[in-house]
Amino acid sequence: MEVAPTVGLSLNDPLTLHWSAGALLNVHLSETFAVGGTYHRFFHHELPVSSEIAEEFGVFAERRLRDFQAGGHVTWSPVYGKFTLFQGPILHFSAYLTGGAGVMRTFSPGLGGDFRPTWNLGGGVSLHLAQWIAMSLSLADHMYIEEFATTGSSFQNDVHMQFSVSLFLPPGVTYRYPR
Amino acid sequence: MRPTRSTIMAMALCAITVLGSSPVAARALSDSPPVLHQKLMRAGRFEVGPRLGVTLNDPYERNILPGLSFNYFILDWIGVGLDLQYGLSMDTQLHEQVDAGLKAKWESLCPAGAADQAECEAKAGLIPGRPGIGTTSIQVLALANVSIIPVIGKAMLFGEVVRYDLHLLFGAGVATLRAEGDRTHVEDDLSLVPFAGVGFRVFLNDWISMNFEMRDLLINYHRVTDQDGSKLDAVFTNHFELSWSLGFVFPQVPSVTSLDD
Repeated sequence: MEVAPTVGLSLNDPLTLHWSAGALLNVHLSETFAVGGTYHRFFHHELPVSSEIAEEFGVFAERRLRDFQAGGHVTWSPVYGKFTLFQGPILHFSAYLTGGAGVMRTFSPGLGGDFRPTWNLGGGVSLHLAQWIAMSLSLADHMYIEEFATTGSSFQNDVHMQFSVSLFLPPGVTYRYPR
Repeated sequence: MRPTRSTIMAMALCAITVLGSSPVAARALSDSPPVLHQKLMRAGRFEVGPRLGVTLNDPYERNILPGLSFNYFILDWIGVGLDLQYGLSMDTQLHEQVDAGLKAKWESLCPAGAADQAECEAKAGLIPGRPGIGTTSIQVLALANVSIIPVIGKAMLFGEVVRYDLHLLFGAGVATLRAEGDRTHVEDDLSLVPFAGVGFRVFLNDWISMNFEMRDLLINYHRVTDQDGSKLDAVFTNHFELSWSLGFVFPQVPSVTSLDD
């Protein structure tokens, strides 16, 4: 089992910088497949484009902020390898693809929120520092349909970059020797 | 007495053991390269193939950038390259929202069909019939780069050994910018584009590679017109491009290091 605290950053919202903190849980069914769940709580910071629109157009763009995202996913790790840096110890890495679905709560400031079904596709790289700990960097596109008062339904891509430190339980590994 | 074959073999083994542990052998080992007979997947080779990029975080226009890449690797750890991409653009949701907001504002100030509409628009400083904001998108992007490859290695992919590298990119080029939206107040433009990026290349076999890159393109342009149709000041703006490319590498067979290298 893999447990990981995570921090993340949304890359493609021009109005608001969303960064997130959360947790990830994976159960590794085999060396290449895992199933798991995630939870991210989003924090917000208004970007200059928002005030540019208000000042230059006299229009107040409708902001739909992300509150949290929770969901399940399947992870497939078809690539693994090892390398050394600066003649240090051998480090193992794996690259993976992930896909899943869940729910995203979004809201307008000062108003109530709504739950949006989401689905996501992504990939990442894990660097295994020891048998029980790894660092991961991943990029996933969380897709959902948002309802805007001015323009109606709109397909949204929340491209989310995420960094996590994974702890593996039990902390040892099992070797399979050739017969 | 003639020595038997087993005696000769035992003496040879002793000799190898003694010589192998001598200072001469140790020095020879310390001088040898870390990898013997290493395949140089890049050195002296060309890589050419299609690429597809998409820009992230665009406020008004999203750019999808199909194109071609060409790289030549001078050594295994350094190369130079050219990329040529054509931009397909689409309005972002924010663009549509601002257009809808402007249209609603126009309508509330000077309703369409009113007898004095033209007079009202003139009085309110509105431009008659203006559909929305004007902006620009990337039309053609031509970039030259230097790539530095500090990390190379081997990995398992579907049970097969594949070679990979991690590389850094630095470069510059030009972008022609296409006027979008309200074309009466923006024109096609040209910008210098410095950029930097990182990438991950996997060799599927000796001569086919797949490349994933993320680049930060700095483009200097008038991002948008305001409600009076005036262009905002041109500024360098970050455009993050995610791209995927397929490479065909020539000559098809890579060179291999020898003991003399």
